[in-house]
Amino acid sequence: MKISTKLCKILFSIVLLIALFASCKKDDVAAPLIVAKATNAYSGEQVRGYFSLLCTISQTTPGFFPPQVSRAYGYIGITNYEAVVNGISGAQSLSGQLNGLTNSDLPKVSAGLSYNWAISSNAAIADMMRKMFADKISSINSARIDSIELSNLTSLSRGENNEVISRSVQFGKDISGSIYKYSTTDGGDKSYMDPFQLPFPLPIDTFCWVPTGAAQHPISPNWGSNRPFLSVNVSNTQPSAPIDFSIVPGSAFYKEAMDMYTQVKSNTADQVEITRYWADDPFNTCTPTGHTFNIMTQLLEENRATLEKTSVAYARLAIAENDAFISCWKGKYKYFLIRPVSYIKKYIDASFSTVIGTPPFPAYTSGHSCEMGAGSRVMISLFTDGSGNYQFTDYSQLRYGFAARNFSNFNEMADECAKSRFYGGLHYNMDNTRGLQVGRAIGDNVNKMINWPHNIK
Amino acid sequence: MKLWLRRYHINFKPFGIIFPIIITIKSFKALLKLLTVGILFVLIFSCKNKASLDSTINDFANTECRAMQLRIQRFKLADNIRFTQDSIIQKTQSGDTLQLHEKITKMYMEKELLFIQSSRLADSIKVQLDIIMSTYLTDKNKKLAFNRKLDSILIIKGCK
Repeated sequence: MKISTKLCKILFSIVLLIALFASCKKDDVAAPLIVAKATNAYSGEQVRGYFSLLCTISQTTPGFFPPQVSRAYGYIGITNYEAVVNGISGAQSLSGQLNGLTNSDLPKVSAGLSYNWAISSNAAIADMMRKMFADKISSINSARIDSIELSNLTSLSRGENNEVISRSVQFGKDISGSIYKYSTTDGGDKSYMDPFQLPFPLPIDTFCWVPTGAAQHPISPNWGSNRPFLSVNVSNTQPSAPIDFSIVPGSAFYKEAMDMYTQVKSNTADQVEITRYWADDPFNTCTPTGHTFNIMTQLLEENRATLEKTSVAYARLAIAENDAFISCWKGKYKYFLIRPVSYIKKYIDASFSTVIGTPPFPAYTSGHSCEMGAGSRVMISLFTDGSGNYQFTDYSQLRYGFAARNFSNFNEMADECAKSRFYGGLHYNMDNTRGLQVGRAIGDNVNKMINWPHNIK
Repeated sequence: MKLWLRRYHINFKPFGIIFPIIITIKSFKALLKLLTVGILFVLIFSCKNKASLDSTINDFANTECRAMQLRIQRFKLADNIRFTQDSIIQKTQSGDTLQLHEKITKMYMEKELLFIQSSRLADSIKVQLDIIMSTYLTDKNKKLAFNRKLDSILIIKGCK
């Protein structure tokens, strides 16, 4: 009895001490800025739904070629991130980190007030999607955005305070408005209205690009002058000059063309399939950027990623893809290199034809290689220990009538994507190997040079 | 059910709020019977589930097969269009291209039709695949099994 009373006293003292310490600690910490559930408390499903829709809209909106699509995904990705960043522990806004985006450009949350980050994200993405396709969006696509937005808002608002709902919607829209304003000064605003950027005087020389099909002008010749999200992604990633042009049989350049010619002539059925798989579709495609985002969406889905991980992943990929196309296009128009099909038809075999049509822009370096190089680096950083090892099946092309493809490493996937352009007769080997280098450098910059939150769920 | 269980010396006993029922098995024979029933139940349930998955994959393969056919048609049409365009470019200076232009116009109409069909099918495949993913393909092994099964059905159907 005596012992038990003593024990009670000791226990009581310990509890009292803990309570005292805890209350002292509370006093030392400043009041939290925002009273809200963390971003990782929400599902990322609604955002993934929007990015899936984005592919459909990119496919069906006139004027959206690979550079324009990468830009649309780019700005929508960072808009969503900014709409939810305040709910991510240890996260920093992209303002002050991205080229030309200052702290004062973005709206701030009100201290002490509650927000629902999923509702902010919903409003921000829907609004930004309308803005990025504004002058060309079809009524069907517009209705699709409206429908998803309303459906998401209805489900996210259940049990939520009305003031929180309207404040969160307004914050999302304010973010979208601010990022859109920022986008208008990058050089690519409404470029879908004039994707060929005419007039563009075609340089004329034996090494120069010439039309390879119906399009008599190359796409977006000034795209390389656009403002990237990270300046180093363009200034520090430019490829060295291509192999010296020559029509002399036995020269290094002739050999590049000959290698590709031999490859196309001896393609296996699997190599033809790989060519078409990465080309997506001959008519309506959401472009290489859309395919890479579709893969990302599937990976996030499989990992049941929260709104936090989904938003960080899309933002990283968005920056990487946007900048990959700017950097790639800068190189393309600097060297303005003739496509292999034109060279081979003129100097090797006039009856030569490629596996699929050649897109209307210069060869060096390959757009697919640049963008997939960048995208794969982002995926490696998000889903692997750095090795790139990750077993997955790309189901994203099933809906377009392609069989699913299995991969066990993201580097291997990027290599296959790059190689597909060689099999197809669209690019010299050097376009792909150096394109991958450009892209990988960009992906690494995006991973390392931006202060991304750690331990995201 | 209760009577049947009692017949085999399996009794229910109330046990507080957390565990309302405790099953007491009074004989080894009863334990064996219970196990047999349990195994049968699991077997029947898993067979039913497998049958349902097989039929889902089969339905999906039918849709996918149609998508594959449409894809082949799209690439074939794209080749026809580009080769005709090449011919127009070559003949522009030397001859009459009116027939080729008419041919291209027809092909563009076909392209629109193919696009509408393909898009509708793509939307339907996406919905089906989302359901399959969330309902059945919950781990990597199940995905691999699904891939193999789908592949084999597509080959049997002559789509791949």
